[in-house]
Amino acid sequence: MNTFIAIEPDRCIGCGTCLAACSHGHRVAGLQAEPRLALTFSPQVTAAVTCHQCEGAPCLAVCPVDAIVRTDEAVVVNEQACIGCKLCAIVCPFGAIHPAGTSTAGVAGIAFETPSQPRGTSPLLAWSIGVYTCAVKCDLCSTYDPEGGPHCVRACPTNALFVRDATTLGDARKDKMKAAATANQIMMGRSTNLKEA
Amino acid sequence: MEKHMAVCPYCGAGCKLNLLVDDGMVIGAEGIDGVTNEGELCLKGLSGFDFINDTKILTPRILHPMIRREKGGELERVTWDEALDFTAQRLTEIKEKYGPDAIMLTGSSRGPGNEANFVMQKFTRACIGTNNIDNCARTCHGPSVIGLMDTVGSGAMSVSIPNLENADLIMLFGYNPSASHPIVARRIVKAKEKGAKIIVVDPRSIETARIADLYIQIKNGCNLAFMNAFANVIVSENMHDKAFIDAHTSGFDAWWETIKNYTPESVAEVCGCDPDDIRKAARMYATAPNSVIGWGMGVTQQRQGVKVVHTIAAIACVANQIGRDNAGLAPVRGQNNVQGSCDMGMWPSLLPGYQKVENPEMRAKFEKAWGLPAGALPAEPGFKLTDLPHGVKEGKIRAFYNFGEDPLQTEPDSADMKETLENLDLLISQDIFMTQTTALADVVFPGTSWGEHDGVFSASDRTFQRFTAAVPPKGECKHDWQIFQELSTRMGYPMHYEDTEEIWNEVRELCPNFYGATYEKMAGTGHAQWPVPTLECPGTPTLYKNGQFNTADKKAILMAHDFVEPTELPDDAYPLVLCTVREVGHYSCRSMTGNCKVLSMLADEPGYVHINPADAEARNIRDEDLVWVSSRRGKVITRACLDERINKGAVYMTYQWWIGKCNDLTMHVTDPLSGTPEDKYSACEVHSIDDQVWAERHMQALYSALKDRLAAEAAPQNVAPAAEASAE
Repeated sequence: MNTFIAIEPDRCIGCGTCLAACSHGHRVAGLQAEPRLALTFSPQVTAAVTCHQCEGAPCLAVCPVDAIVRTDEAVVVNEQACIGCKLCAIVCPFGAIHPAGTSTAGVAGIAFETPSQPRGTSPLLAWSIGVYTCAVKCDLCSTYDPEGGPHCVRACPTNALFVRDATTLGDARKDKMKAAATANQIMMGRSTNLKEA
Repeated sequence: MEKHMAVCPYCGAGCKLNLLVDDGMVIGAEGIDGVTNEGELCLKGLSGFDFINDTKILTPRILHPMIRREKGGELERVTWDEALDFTAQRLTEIKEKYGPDAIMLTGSSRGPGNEANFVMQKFTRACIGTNNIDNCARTCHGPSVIGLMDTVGSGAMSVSIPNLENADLIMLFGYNPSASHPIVARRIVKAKEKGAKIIVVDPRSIETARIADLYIQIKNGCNLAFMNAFANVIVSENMHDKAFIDAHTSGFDAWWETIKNYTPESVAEVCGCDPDDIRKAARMYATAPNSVIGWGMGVTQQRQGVKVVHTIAAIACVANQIGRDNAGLAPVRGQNNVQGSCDMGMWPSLLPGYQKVENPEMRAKFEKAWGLPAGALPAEPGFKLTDLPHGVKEGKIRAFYNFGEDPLQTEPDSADMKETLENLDLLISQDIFMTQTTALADVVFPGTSWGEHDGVFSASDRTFQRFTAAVPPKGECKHDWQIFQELSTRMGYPMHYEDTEEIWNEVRELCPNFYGATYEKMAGTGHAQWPVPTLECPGTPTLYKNGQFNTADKKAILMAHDFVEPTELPDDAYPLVLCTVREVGHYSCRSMTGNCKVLSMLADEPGYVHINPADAEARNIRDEDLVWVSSRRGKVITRACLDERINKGAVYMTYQWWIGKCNDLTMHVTDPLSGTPEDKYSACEVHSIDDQVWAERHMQALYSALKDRLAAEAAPQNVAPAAEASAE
């Protein structure tokens, strides 16, 4: 099955340590520094939005140049092959893949951006002079640190992020079934008296 | 790759980490198993290391001493000898002409550590001969230090950070740990999972409000009314501990005379909350086996900061929720070593170890230890940091020695502060970066950065921990304590320390509560939580056990006060309340984190003004638009974040931004008891900008111009002095 990262929102404090770990790891590996996951805030929920590495990954299906491929670990973008067409970003149901680029003016820390549109412009339409964008998405850190596992999960100070794979999901399902069965028994024993009916 | 043990330089949580060094460059950080962080780090700890390498993303490091020979002239790189001679001569002239009290100094609560601060205050008191020394606690937890010393005797957390997770109830009042101290927020999440009840009282629906059992959204500026009513309920409903009050407190009857008038109904309008919620909160707090109140700037940066701290302390005493491992007071300190600055006597009325300057016995002890004649140490408390603007205007302060702080960014009303700094006869700035303040300085001393020196920090919960150098000093940077001792020696009071341990041992000898905190005990991930009076003592995580307060008669003093409204209420011209808050991924004036690759990428200028969507809609403002925010003090450009967690009628700006600088808007009105500015409450208005592309370019132009100006100010350091150049 597909391995992905899930979040427990009651543990998330919205600090963004996951974003920092993601950015640092990929940047050091020579990939885009843009974080692969994003934080979203609503009055009730704070959560990191992550890629689900879908089995029927629409991003992979629509990529016209096969820059997105499925490896044993994840659905991965080849940043060199990507042409920045943004089709993947349009079809992703989670908003988990988006274009990003590194400004050449930013490399030496002397960025002098010349914005051409309001910041509120959708990232699909935004552009800046001289910056070539490519799609970035979560690769579970498999492209540069397969042994280490996803860096965001490791870095989260409240352990709000979890790797969900066949083993962990299977265990969680067993626990849920056990809990549900116990609850049902109590309910039946105490209130419905189905056994006597 | 080498690993060097350190303590994170970014907040009061005191997280232990290893700096990873490769080929003389710091290339990473990893958490280690410290007492407060248990191996975890937040984004600042994890990604906040590369400023050491002089990345020049925001502003360059200062690597050579520079002076301005004439006011308003250009900075010029000189040799250390010339810079120190020049400074010693100028300071001596000012001292002779206007007296020692015309010189004001501020300690650094950031990277330098306790030893450097101790030597600075020794230089201030023993060499210059004034108590005009303060630190940035003045603008943050000063009211907590003062308010707690007035009532329970020690201006610090009474509980330890690790014990927070074992409390049965945690009430957060004007404190947003998720942004200020993620590693403390982690303890609150753990406490919740262990079954603790959480109460959040805050005008903003902060992160912790989501997991709170009771969230009370109050109006900005109503703290004392709320807390008085909270105290009222505890006593009215007979939830106070009479035996404890009789045995361990004084002043209950007079206290109740004031508190009895504050029924929940009487404050409901001022607080904007349901009176029954106040009752519910008070019942939960008073009846839980062990309750902790945590508070932050929401309490202290207000007109009545000290008075609210008095009331919080009284509530804990009256309800007997104090003096146990999991019950007590938690004012969590903002900067990594602001507790340490206070510990080291960077305070106009306190010698190191909280020993009062007004006490002749204490002065005599220090005079003897420092080889001074009897009566040499000044007895009068000195100026506060917030006295600087009017002190300069009145001609009382002539010289200001700024150590590792950036008042032009962090103090209220920047325009007024700039005028203040420009009107000084002599401004000395000892820093690691060319900050906005350093750019105005007549003398620029390059100190070593965190990562380049050893020392001890005090975490927020009184925990001393050692940190070590990972890389050698860059350029001609000297350790801060070396600079002070060389200056002091030139000014006629010789000091000579070999290393930080020698300084620390002097601190231990002079401060009975710190005596047992030896370097040996603090090796590796070792730590010592004061009071630690003997070598055998492992430290004291909990203060006031068995109701033994640190007051003269061991009893807590109950103090109550009447509520007064904030100074500048919103009106037709400025209908919104401006409240200043902090950015989770940046720190203090941002000179350090703004020079880190990851942190500057995650959040950059001009920051955001968080505004309720209804208030934004009424002003025709869309999410992510650039907007003007104006007040009676000024006008800045920033970006709007439409945020449903924000209460209507108030807006929130983080104080880390140099372009979207909220302190251009705040006002310099202070709590008279502490001198702490009322940063949490002033009136403002937000205006939309029609041409967003123009606005984006304008903002970029302002930002680039600022960076260019600071780089240009630092540029003379690249030109070696003539004498050195010819020698090479």
